[in-house]
Amino acid sequence: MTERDLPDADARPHRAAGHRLAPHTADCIVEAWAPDRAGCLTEALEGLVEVFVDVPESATTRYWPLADSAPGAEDELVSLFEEVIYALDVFGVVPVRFHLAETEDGGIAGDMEVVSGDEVQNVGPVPKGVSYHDLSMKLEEGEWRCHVLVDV
Amino acid sequence: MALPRAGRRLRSDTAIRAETGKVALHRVSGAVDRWRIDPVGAMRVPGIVFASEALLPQVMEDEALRQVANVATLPGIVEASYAMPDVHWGYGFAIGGVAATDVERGGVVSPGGVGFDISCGVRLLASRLVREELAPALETLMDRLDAGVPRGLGLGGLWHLGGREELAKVLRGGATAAVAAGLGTEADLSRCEDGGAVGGADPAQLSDRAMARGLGQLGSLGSGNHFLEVQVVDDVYDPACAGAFGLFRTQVCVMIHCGSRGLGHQICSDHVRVMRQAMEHYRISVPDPQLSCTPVRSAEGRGYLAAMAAAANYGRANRQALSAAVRRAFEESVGSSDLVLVYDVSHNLAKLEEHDVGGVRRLLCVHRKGATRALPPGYADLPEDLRAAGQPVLVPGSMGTASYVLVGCEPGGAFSSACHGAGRTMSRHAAAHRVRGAELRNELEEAGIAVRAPSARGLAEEAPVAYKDVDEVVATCERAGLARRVARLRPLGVVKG
Repeated sequence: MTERDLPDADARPHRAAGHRLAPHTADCIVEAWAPDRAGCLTEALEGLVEVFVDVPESATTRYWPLADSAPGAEDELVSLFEEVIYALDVFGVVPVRFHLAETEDGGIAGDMEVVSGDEVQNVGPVPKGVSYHDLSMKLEEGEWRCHVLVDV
Repeated sequence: MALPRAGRRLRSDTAIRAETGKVALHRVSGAVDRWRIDPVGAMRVPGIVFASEALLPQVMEDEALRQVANVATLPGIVEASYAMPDVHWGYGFAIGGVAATDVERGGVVSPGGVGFDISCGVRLLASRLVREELAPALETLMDRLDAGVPRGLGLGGLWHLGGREELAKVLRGGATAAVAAGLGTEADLSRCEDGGAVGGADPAQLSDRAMARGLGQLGSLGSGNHFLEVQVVDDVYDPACAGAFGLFRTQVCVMIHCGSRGLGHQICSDHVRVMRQAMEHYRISVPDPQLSCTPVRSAEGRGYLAAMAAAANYGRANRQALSAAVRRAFEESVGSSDLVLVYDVSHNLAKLEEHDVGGVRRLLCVHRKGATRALPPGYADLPEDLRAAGQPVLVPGSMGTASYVLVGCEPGGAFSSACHGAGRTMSRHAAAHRVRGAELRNELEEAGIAVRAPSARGLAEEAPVAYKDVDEVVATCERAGLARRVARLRPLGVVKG
């Protein structure tokens, strides 16, 4: 089986919103799609978390504010990913749910529900940086799509 | 055209011309294991790839050659954009890439040419034990290392810093700060690249976030491909050199592979962002934003190099702190903490070095991203007791396979550089699908390798099948004249990050 015909990469039916982890030789690529920008960012963030943890259903969460993201869809994506990485590295919290919405001025605002890193199972390499290589976040054929490479 | 499978011989020179996307590669006539990408478009120099015929198909499988060609467009680049035999797809630069720019002629520095994990590197500690002496205590030693080496998810390192002032001392002093804090000896420092500290580090060039990420992670391994291995020297190719390095057959050693943790990553992110904005001012355009760069002699370039030096020092202090944990674990399990540092060398770094270019001595900014400096004998930068032998080049293999100690040699190549590991050939994603972590753990343990790993998937992602054949990679380095083999080490125990 080659990297390009993994069952979860191509054989899955297309849902209105979703995400997947795509192959990269050294690191991890997260791809996501949704009808709206906030939905696409939410899916991408969920993909980022899947790279490294399994979260138990029963985990007790608390709300964690997300800083205002940088303007521009791609920079917005990068800054949200960096918020997750920073919260993990400095405060030891892992997000399990995201609540994002577009603001009246066209930005993105919201928060995330987090658990302590002690409450989750580490299942993969921990993300540490977000690359601009092949970065994209755009509206295509009526849906928002993004592609982002995460250093682990 | 169809690519030849690994191990199958390619046809005659004229037929050895393969295309990956739009990057054409052809053999350099009269040279061994050396391939050329002719400059096209915005490329200022050719690409040169060091690869055997067996490795070449893997080199051409992903986007690595495209990235080698992209690096050749950087302003001020001299000679060539080089790829080591372990080259593979990175971001911006390929991993296994070497590029040097002429500092006094507008040459640039690119944070992407160093990578996120600034000063990621390897250190090798040599015990005075032989394999049979350790055998009865191996499991105890592995348990002590398992408990004593922070890694994976979560906060915490072995070295609890009192605050940002103490962190700033580490950023300036590197391994020397660690030794001053009681985490090693002066003898350790003499066997560290740059004596354990890169000059010119300026903590003021770090963002608040970089400092915050650095405070809680000093003395930790991280995750991904980082590891700590207990190894045994199972072959010696150059007894004289091995003797100079303090290595002998059946000797127990410890190899540590890790870097500058979140602090280094934050510095890379911050400075790529700054340079991305600044490039227009310098009229620089690059084919990939992760190659963002500014002249070395610019405020942004100087700022990055000062921050990079600080991160490099953090990485070296990190490996020094982990060495203290290793010595403690040996003391508790075998009653002796007598481990001598063979060498500590970074494989993600940019350094200002003098080299001959076209017969003229030039000051160059040499980017090594997933490549190891490999100084031949005689260099003043080498520790006095290694000067006659040359610089040790530490090459970790994939988990469960061999690692190597090489030595820099004449004539060398790629500005005195060699490989940094086996080099991935399969994505983490594919490895995790193909390999079951629990089965791999059993296989390793059946082969006599004790495994301590935080997750089965993390183990599967680092499976040997995901990497190139390290024996072939180092043999290629030797045939190409980049470095010579000194000794081979086999793992006895793996503490996986």
